[in-house]
Parts: sequence; C-alpha cells; structure tokens
Amino acid sequence: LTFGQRYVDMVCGCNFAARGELHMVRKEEGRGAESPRGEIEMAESEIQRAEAEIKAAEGELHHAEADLKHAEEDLDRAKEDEHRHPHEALVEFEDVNSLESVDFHTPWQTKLNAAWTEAARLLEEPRRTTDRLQTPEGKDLTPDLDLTLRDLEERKIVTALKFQIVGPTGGA
Amino acid sequence: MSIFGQAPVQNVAQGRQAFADHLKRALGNRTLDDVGWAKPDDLTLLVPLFATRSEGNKDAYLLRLCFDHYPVWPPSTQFVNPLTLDYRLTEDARWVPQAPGHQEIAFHTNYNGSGQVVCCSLTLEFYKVNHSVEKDLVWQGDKQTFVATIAAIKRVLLPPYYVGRSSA
Repeated sequence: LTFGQRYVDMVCGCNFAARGELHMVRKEEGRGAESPRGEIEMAESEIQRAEAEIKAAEGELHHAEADLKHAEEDLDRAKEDEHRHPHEALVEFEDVNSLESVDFHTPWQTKLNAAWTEAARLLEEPRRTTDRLQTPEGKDLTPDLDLTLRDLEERKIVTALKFQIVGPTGGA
Repeated sequence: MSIFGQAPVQNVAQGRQAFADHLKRALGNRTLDDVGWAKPDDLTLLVPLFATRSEGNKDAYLLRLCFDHYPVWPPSTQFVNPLTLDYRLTEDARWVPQAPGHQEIAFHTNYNGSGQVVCCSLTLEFYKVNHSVEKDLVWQGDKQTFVATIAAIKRVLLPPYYVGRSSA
C-alpha cells in the first residue's frame, strides 16, 4: 500500500469508530438515559472532521499517484537516454521568469557552473550576477557550482539534473 | 513600467488573461493534474507544497495564488487551510509555515494586524502592507511570472530555515 492509501485507510477507520460511537450514544438515549446531546454533537463533529480528512487524503493520494506516474516516465526516458548517450548527461534548465526552458546533453565531467553558462547561451538570457540556481524542490545550488554533474548525482545533492534559474527577491 | 512607490491596482480582465497565458507556458506539455495544481476559477491557483524539517520529516501546505492584480503586480499569495481553502486569523495559523532567519522571505500569520503576509517582493501582500524594498528588487510584471513566486517560497521550506508549523 502507498502512504496515501494507508492514510485513507487510517482516516476511514477513525470515521468508522466515530459512527459507531454515535450509534451507541443514540441507542443509550433511546433507552431513556439522561440525554447526552453534547456527546452526539461531539460525535457528529468528529464524523465531519474525519470526512473532511478523507477528502484531503484522497486528494493527496491522487497527487501521489500522479507523482509516481511521472517518476516512472522519467525513469523510462533516462534509461532510453543513457542507452543513446552513455557518456553524457541530459540536463534541463528552466528560467522561472521567462518560463523558457532548455535541455541538452553534456559530458558527466561538466561543472554545474559551465552547464549553467551553456544554458544561458541557449536561452539567450545573459547571466546576471544576482541570479541563482536551485533545484525544483527549492535547494540553493550556489555552494555546488564547481561540482561536476557526476559529483552532484553521486553525492545525492540533486535527485534529477533539472535546475531552475531564479532572480533575487527582497523581503523578510 | 516600474511599480516602485505605487499602490496596487486591481485589473481582473488583465489578470485572467495573463494568468491563462503564463499557466499555459508554465505547464508546457503537462496538465494541472500532472503537476498537482488545481485551478478552482479563472483567477486562482492552488499549489500543494511540502516543507522539510531538519530531521527529514515533511509537512504539507497549500498555497493559494490569486491573479486579480496580475501581471502588473505579483499574485496574491496566501497559505490556506486545505479543508476550507481559506485562511482565518488565529485558527488557521498552523497552516502557515514557520521559517525564521531567511534574509529574503518571511511568513507572518498576522502582519501588524493586516492578516497573513508572505513577506517577499514577489507577492501582492508585500506591496499592500507597503513594505520597504530596494528598487531593483521590485516585481517586474513584464519580465516575471508567478512561477518565480513559487520558486522563491520553496527556497525557504527547507532546512535550515523551515522549523515547523506556525502557532497562533
């Protein structure tokens, strides 16, 4: 089971328990016990909360499945690419401002900084001193610019050779 | 034209058109489902984000971007309760990440009584609260897109900056 499915199961279980509790409270009330209105309301609210959580968990499951599908597609593409270019890496750069992206093959020994320069040339966007490189997950790669693509992968600094070119921001 | 020193002006028609155009370019050959985003209406984008704690555990957040001042102004940017898709002061504070110490971005659950502010020059609220900013860091609507806003926020949702959920 995926994490998402386990989460849905867990929340469904809570929902089930809450419904059982409500049933017991109503049964008790039917027997003429002191009216436990507060307990009914609490149980109903718990059901509502559990139902909302199920909805959220189903959404997460949907996203997790989409992520898995993409990962499988990426893996297939990477295998095919490695077969065709055994000594080269396929890198992808996206400029988050212009929304333009480029990908190209380059030797595994290419330094990240050099790959970025080549990407800027292909994007026809000059590199500014304030620009930075990050992974799509947001990891700043400024300290790693002198590493080769092989280093980045072997040291698990990146999970894929996909990079975003970002500009500076102000705030805080 | 620079927006430096000006007050934000809403333009729904322009925002709708620019959002549609930029979203199409951002997605490329992918669909909204492919990237896990949702577009509940023509001016709103919902973006699920995961924040990573130092020990590796992840917390889920939902970012809501609104484009009614876009692209002259950056998108309105709020973390929302994923169950209500809204942000209520105090009770929804836990749906806002806590990441102190970053020099460029800060998350405020209630900034000087003005509500939630993602304090970054790539968000609309930053200008609505009249936050100070260097001229060359001001949003440039003719060059920047909402993807830059998302990318900037992601930078802070990682160690050592991200420490957990906010509290009221």
